[in-house]
Amino acid sequence: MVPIGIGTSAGELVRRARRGDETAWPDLVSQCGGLLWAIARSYGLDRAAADDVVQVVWLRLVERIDTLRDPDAVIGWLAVTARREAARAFERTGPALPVVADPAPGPEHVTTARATLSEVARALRAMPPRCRDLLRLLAQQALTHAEIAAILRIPVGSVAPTRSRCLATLTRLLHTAKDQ
Amino acid sequence: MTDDDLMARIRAAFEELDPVPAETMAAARAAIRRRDPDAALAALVDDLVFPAGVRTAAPTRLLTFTGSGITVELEVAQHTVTGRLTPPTSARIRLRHPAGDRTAHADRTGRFTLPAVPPGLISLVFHLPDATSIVTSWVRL
Repeated sequence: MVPIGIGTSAGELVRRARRGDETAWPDLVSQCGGLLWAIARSYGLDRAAADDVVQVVWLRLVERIDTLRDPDAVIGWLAVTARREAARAFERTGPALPVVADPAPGPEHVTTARATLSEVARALRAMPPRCRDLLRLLAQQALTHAEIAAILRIPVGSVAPTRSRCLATLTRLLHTAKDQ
Repeated sequence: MTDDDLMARIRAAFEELDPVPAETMAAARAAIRRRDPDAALAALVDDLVFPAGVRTAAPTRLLTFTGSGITVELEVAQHTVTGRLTPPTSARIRLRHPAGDRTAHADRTGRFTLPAVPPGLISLVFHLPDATSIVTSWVRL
Protein backbone atom coordinates (compact mmCIF):
# COMPACT_ATOMS: atom_id res chain seq x y z
CA MET A 1 0.00 0.00 0.00
CA VAL A 2 1.35 3.41 -0.92
CA PRO A 3 1.34 5.60 2.17
CA ILE A 4 -0.93 8.59 1.88
CA GLY A 5 0.93 11.74 0.99
CA ILE A 6 3.67 9.89 -0.88
CA GLY A 7 2.68 8.33 -4.27
CA THR A 8 2.07 11.06 -6.85
CA SER A 9 2.57 14.10 -4.71
CA ALA A 10 -0.51 16.03 -3.76
CA GLY A 11 1.30 19.21 -4.82
CA GLU A 12 1.77 17.82 -8.30
CA LEU A 13 -1.93 16.91 -8.45
CA VAL A 14 -2.83 20.51 -7.53
CA ARG A 15 -0.58 21.83 -10.32
CA ARG A 16 -2.15 19.42 -12.80
CA ALA A 17 -5.67 20.38 -11.69
CA ARG A 18 -4.78 24.04 -12.23
CA ARG A 19 -3.76 23.24 -15.78
CA GLY A 20 -7.15 21.63 -16.33
CA ASP A 21 -6.06 18.00 -16.09
CA GLU A 22 -9.37 16.35 -15.22
CA THR A 23 -7.85 13.22 -13.72
CA ALA A 24 -5.82 15.13 -11.13
CA TRP A 25 -8.67 16.32 -8.91
CA PRO A 26 -10.31 12.89 -8.38
CA ASP A 27 -6.85 11.52 -7.55
CA LEU A 28 -6.35 14.26 -4.98
CA VAL A 29 -9.78 13.50 -3.50
CA SER A 30 -8.93 9.80 -3.28
CA GLN A 31 -5.59 10.58 -1.67
CA CYS A 32 -6.88 12.97 0.98
CA GLY A 33 -10.53 11.97 1.43
CA GLY A 34 -9.77 9.57 4.27
CA LEU A 35 -7.63 12.12 6.06
CA LEU A 36 -10.36 14.78 6.05
CA TRP A 37 -12.96 12.26 7.17
CA ALA A 38 -10.70 11.09 10.01
CA ILE A 39 -10.15 14.67 11.17
CA ALA A 40 -13.86 15.54 11.10
CA ARG A 41 -14.81 12.35 12.93
CA SER A 42 -12.08 12.89 15.52
CA TYR A 43 -13.84 16.10 16.50
CA GLY A 44 -16.78 14.02 17.64
CA LEU A 45 -19.01 14.97 14.72
CA ASP A 46 -21.63 12.51 13.55
CA ARG A 47 -21.50 11.27 9.97
CA ALA A 48 -23.87 13.93 8.59
CA ALA A 49 -21.95 16.79 10.23
CA ALA A 50 -18.63 15.27 9.16
CA ASP A 51 -19.89 15.05 5.58
CA ASP A 52 -20.78 18.71 5.74
CA VAL A 53 -17.32 19.68 6.99
CA VAL A 54 -15.56 17.63 4.33
CA GLN A 55 -17.72 19.19 1.61
CA VAL A 56 -16.88 22.71 2.75
CA VAL A 57 -13.16 21.93 2.91
CA TRP A 58 -13.09 20.70 -0.70
CA LEU A 59 -15.04 23.75 -1.89
CA ARG A 60 -12.55 25.97 -0.02
CA LEU A 61 -9.72 24.27 -1.86
CA VAL A 62 -11.50 24.75 -5.19
CA GLU A 63 -11.90 28.47 -4.50
CA ARG A 64 -8.20 28.75 -3.58
CA ILE A 65 -6.68 26.26 -5.96
CA ASP A 66 -5.42 28.85 -8.43
CA THR A 67 -3.92 31.11 -5.78
CA LEU A 68 -2.54 28.59 -3.28
CA ARG A 69 0.98 29.83 -2.59
CA ASP A 70 2.60 26.47 -2.02
CA PRO A 71 0.86 23.56 -3.75
CA ASP A 72 3.31 21.17 -2.09
CA ALA A 73 1.87 22.15 1.29
CA VAL A 74 -1.68 21.30 0.21
CA ILE A 75 -2.12 18.38 2.62
CA GLY A 76 -1.25 20.61 5.57
CA TRP A 77 -3.58 23.28 4.18
CA LEU A 78 -6.42 20.76 3.92
CA ALA A 79 -5.75 19.50 7.45
CA VAL A 80 -5.77 23.01 8.94
CA THR A 81 -8.93 23.94 7.04
CA ALA A 82 -10.63 20.72 8.14
CA ARG A 83 -9.70 21.45 11.76
CA ARG A 84 -11.10 24.95 11.57
CA GLU A 85 -14.34 23.88 9.90
CA ALA A 86 -14.76 20.88 12.22
CA ALA A 87 -14.20 23.06 15.30
CA ARG A 88 -16.84 25.50 14.01
CA ALA A 89 -19.30 22.69 13.34
CA PHE A 90 -18.59 21.26 16.79
CA GLU A 91 -19.38 24.63 18.39
CA ARG A 92 -22.60 24.90 16.39
CA THR A 93 -23.81 21.45 17.43
CA GLY A 94 -24.05 22.64 21.00
CA PRO A 95 -22.18 22.18 24.27
CA ALA A 96 -19.11 20.01 24.06
CA LEU A 97 -19.67 16.37 24.84
CA PRO A 98 -17.62 14.89 27.66
CA VAL A 99 -14.16 14.20 26.31
CA VAL A 100 -13.87 10.82 28.00
CA ALA A 101 -17.09 9.46 26.53
CA ASP A 102 -17.06 8.32 22.93
CA PRO A 103 -18.02 11.61 21.31
CA ALA A 104 -19.17 10.29 17.97
CA PRO A 105 -22.06 7.86 17.76
CA GLY A 106 -19.15 5.52 17.33
CA PRO A 107 -17.79 3.36 14.55
CA GLU A 108 -19.54 0.35 16.09
CA HIS A 109 -22.94 1.78 15.21
CA VAL A 110 -22.00 1.93 11.59
CA THR A 111 -21.06 -1.70 11.33
CA THR A 112 -23.19 -3.41 13.95
CA ALA A 113 -24.76 -5.44 11.20
CA ARG A 114 -21.43 -6.50 9.76
CA ALA A 115 -20.63 -9.94 11.05
CA THR A 116 -17.04 -10.17 9.98
CA LEU A 117 -14.52 -7.58 10.98
CA SER A 118 -10.80 -7.87 10.67
CA GLU A 119 -8.83 -8.67 13.79
CA VAL A 120 -7.46 -5.16 13.96
CA ALA A 121 -10.91 -3.61 13.57
CA ARG A 122 -12.25 -5.75 16.43
CA ALA A 123 -9.31 -4.79 18.60
CA LEU A 124 -9.74 -1.08 17.81
CA ARG A 125 -13.38 -1.30 18.69
CA ALA A 126 -12.46 -2.64 22.11
CA MET A 127 -10.10 0.27 22.80
CA PRO A 128 -10.80 3.51 24.64
CA PRO A 129 -12.10 6.18 22.22
CA ARG A 130 -9.11 8.44 22.80
CA CYS A 131 -6.68 5.72 21.79
CA ARG A 132 -8.82 4.92 18.79
CA ASP A 133 -8.88 8.53 17.61
CA LEU A 134 -5.16 8.94 18.14
CA LEU A 135 -4.29 5.77 16.23
CA ARG A 136 -6.67 6.74 13.46
CA LEU A 137 -4.98 10.11 12.97
CA LEU A 138 -1.48 8.63 13.27
CA ALA A 139 -2.36 6.01 10.67
CA GLN A 140 -3.12 8.76 8.16
CA GLN A 141 0.66 9.43 8.14
CA ALA A 142 0.14 12.96 6.85
CA LEU A 143 -0.20 14.76 10.16
CA THR A 144 2.47 16.03 12.52
CA HIS A 145 2.21 15.38 16.23
CA ALA A 146 1.41 19.07 16.72
CA GLU A 147 -1.53 18.80 14.31
CA ILE A 148 -2.80 15.65 16.01
CA ALA A 149 -2.51 17.32 19.43
CA ALA A 150 -4.57 20.27 18.16
CA ILE A 151 -7.29 18.01 16.77
CA LEU A 152 -7.57 15.93 19.93
CA ARG A 153 -7.05 18.91 22.24
CA ILE A 154 -4.21 17.26 24.11
CA PRO A 155 -0.71 18.57 24.89
CA VAL A 156 1.69 17.91 22.03
CA GLY A 157 4.12 16.26 24.46
CA SER A 158 1.60 13.59 25.27
CA VAL A 159 1.20 12.37 21.68
CA ALA A 160 4.34 10.20 21.60
CA PRO A 161 3.82 8.51 25.00
CA THR A 162 0.11 7.99 24.32
CA ARG A 163 0.97 6.53 20.93
CA SER A 164 3.30 3.97 22.57
CA ARG A 165 0.73 3.11 25.20
CA CYS A 166 -2.09 2.73 22.66
CA LEU A 167 0.01 0.64 20.28
CA ALA A 168 1.00 -1.60 23.20
CA THR A 169 -2.69 -2.01 24.11
CA LEU A 170 -3.56 -2.79 20.50
CA THR A 171 -0.76 -5.35 20.19
CA ARG A 172 -1.86 -6.96 23.45
CA LEU A 173 -5.47 -7.15 22.24
CA LEU A 174 -4.32 -8.71 18.99
CA HIS A 175 -2.29 -11.35 20.86
CA THR A 176 -5.14 -12.07 23.25
CA ALA A 177 -7.46 -12.58 20.27
CA LYS A 178 -4.95 -15.05 18.78
CA ASP A 179 -4.63 -17.03 22.00
CA GLN A 180 -8.35 -17.59 22.32
CA MET B 1 5.02 -6.73 12.25
CA THR B 2 6.72 -3.39 11.65
CA ASP B 3 5.22 -0.13 12.79
CA ASP B 4 4.41 0.80 9.18
CA ASP B 5 2.61 -2.50 8.62
CA LEU B 6 0.61 -2.00 11.77
CA MET B 7 -0.30 1.57 10.78
CA ALA B 8 -1.42 0.35 7.34
CA ARG B 9 -3.60 -2.28 9.04
CA ILE B 10 -5.07 0.34 11.37
CA ARG B 11 -5.90 2.53 8.38
CA ALA B 12 -7.58 -0.41 6.63
CA ALA B 13 -9.49 -1.27 9.82
CA PHE B 14 -10.98 2.21 9.97
CA GLU B 15 -12.10 1.81 6.39
CA GLU B 16 -14.18 -1.11 7.69
CA LEU B 17 -15.33 0.53 10.93
CA ASP B 18 -16.18 3.99 9.69
CA PRO B 19 -15.85 4.23 5.91
CA VAL B 20 -15.99 7.60 4.18
CA PRO B 21 -19.53 7.69 2.73
CA ALA B 22 -19.63 7.24 -1.03
CA GLU B 23 -21.73 10.42 -1.30
CA THR B 24 -19.04 12.38 0.54
CA MET B 25 -16.43 11.25 -1.95
CA ALA B 26 -18.76 11.87 -4.91
CA ALA B 27 -19.50 15.43 -3.70
CA ALA B 28 -15.77 16.03 -3.24
CA ARG B 29 -15.03 14.88 -6.80
CA ALA B 30 -17.83 17.11 -8.11
CA ALA B 31 -16.54 20.17 -6.22
CA ILE B 32 -13.97 20.94 -8.94
CA ARG B 33 -16.82 21.83 -11.30
CA ARG B 34 -17.27 24.95 -9.13
CA ARG B 35 -13.80 26.18 -10.05
CA ASP B 36 -13.87 29.61 -11.66
CA PRO B 37 -10.29 30.64 -12.37
CA ASP B 38 -11.39 33.96 -13.89
CA ALA B 39 -13.19 35.20 -10.79
CA ALA B 40 -11.42 36.97 -7.94
CA LEU B 41 -12.19 35.63 -4.48
CA ALA B 42 -14.01 37.70 -1.87
CA ALA B 43 -13.26 35.83 1.34
CA LEU B 44 -15.50 35.71 4.39
CA VAL B 45 -14.26 38.19 6.99
CA ASP B 46 -17.26 38.48 9.29
CA ASP B 47 -20.21 36.31 10.22
CA LEU B 48 -22.50 37.77 12.89
CA VAL B 49 -25.88 36.61 14.11
CA PHE B 50 -28.33 39.01 15.73
CA PRO B 51 -31.22 37.50 17.65
CA ALA B 52 -34.74 38.78 16.97
CA GLY B 53 -35.23 41.96 18.92
CA VAL B 54 -35.49 45.70 18.70
CA ARG B 55 -33.58 46.03 15.47
CA THR B 56 -35.16 43.18 13.54
CA ALA B 57 -38.27 41.05 13.83
CA ALA B 58 -36.50 37.81 12.89
CA PRO B 59 -33.01 36.53 13.72
CA THR B 60 -30.64 38.13 11.23
CA ARG B 61 -27.25 37.02 10.04
CA LEU B 62 -24.76 39.49 8.62
CA LEU B 63 -22.01 38.15 6.41
CA THR B 64 -19.16 40.24 5.04
CA PHE B 65 -16.78 39.21 2.27
CA THR B 66 -13.89 41.24 0.94
CA GLY B 67 -11.37 40.87 -1.85
CA SER B 68 -10.06 42.59 -4.95
CA GLY B 69 -11.15 46.01 -3.70
CA ILE B 70 -14.80 45.08 -3.29
CA THR B 71 -16.90 44.36 -0.22
CA VAL B 72 -19.98 42.14 -0.34
CA GLU B 73 -22.37 42.42 2.57
CA LEU B 74 -25.22 39.93 2.95
CA GLU B 75 -28.09 40.10 5.37
CA VAL B 76 -29.97 36.85 5.79
CA ALA B 77 -33.35 36.78 7.51
CA GLN B 78 -36.05 34.16 7.06
CA HIS B 79 -34.39 32.69 3.97
CA THR B 80 -34.28 36.05 2.20
CA VAL B 81 -30.84 37.29 1.30
CA THR B 82 -30.43 41.02 0.74
CA GLY B 83 -27.06 42.38 -0.18
CA ARG B 84 -24.93 45.31 -1.10
CA LEU B 85 -21.75 45.77 -3.09
CA THR B 86 -19.28 48.45 -2.04
CA PRO B 87 -18.14 50.48 -3.92
CA PRO B 88 -21.62 50.52 -5.45
CA THR B 89 -21.86 48.88 -8.83
CA SER B 90 -24.45 47.07 -10.88
CA ALA B 91 -23.77 43.40 -11.49
CA ARG B 92 -25.23 40.23 -12.89
CA ILE B 93 -25.41 37.75 -10.03
CA ARG B 94 -25.32 33.99 -9.99
CA LEU B 95 -26.35 32.31 -6.75
CA ARG B 96 -24.62 28.95 -6.59
CA HIS B 97 -26.55 26.40 -4.54
CA PRO B 98 -26.56 22.58 -4.46
CA ALA B 99 -30.31 22.66 -5.18
CA GLY B 100 -29.63 24.56 -8.41
CA ASP B 101 -28.13 27.87 -9.44
CA ARG B 102 -30.17 30.98 -9.97
CA THR B 103 -29.56 34.50 -11.29
CA ALA B 104 -30.33 38.01 -10.06
CA HIS B 105 -29.22 41.61 -10.59
CA ALA B 106 -27.63 44.26 -8.42
CA ASP B 107 -28.84 47.79 -9.22
CA ARG B 108 -26.59 50.83 -9.67
CA THR B 109 -26.44 51.32 -5.92
CA GLY B 110 -25.07 47.80 -5.61
CA ARG B 111 -28.17 46.44 -3.88
CA PHE B 112 -29.83 43.11 -4.58
CA THR B 113 -32.37 40.68 -3.12
CA LEU B 114 -32.58 36.90 -3.34
CA PRO B 115 -35.84 35.61 -1.91
CA ALA B 116 -36.53 32.09 -0.62
CA VAL B 117 -33.00 30.71 -0.57
CA PRO B 118 -33.18 27.16 0.83
CA PRO B 119 -30.68 26.14 3.52
CA GLY B 120 -27.42 24.81 2.16
CA LEU B 121 -23.98 25.82 0.97
CA ILE B 122 -24.08 28.96 -1.13
CA SER B 123 -21.65 31.15 -3.01
CA LEU B 124 -22.36 34.24 -5.11
CA VAL B 125 -20.68 35.17 -8.37
CA PHE B 126 -20.85 38.82 -9.46
CA HIS B 127 -20.25 39.67 -13.11
CA LEU B 128 -19.32 43.35 -13.07
CA PRO B 129 -19.81 45.87 -15.90
CA ASP B 130 -16.04 45.96 -16.57
CA ALA B 131 -16.24 42.23 -17.48
CA THR B 132 -14.39 41.11 -14.36
CA SER B 133 -16.01 38.83 -11.83
CA ILE B 134 -15.92 38.32 -8.10
CA VAL B 135 -16.88 35.12 -6.27
CA THR B 136 -17.62 34.82 -2.57
CA SER B 137 -16.39 32.01 -0.34
CA TRP B 138 -18.85 29.21 0.29
CA VAL B 139 -20.99 29.63 3.38
CA ARG B 140 -23.72 27.48 4.87
CA LEU B 141 -27.07 29.17 5.23
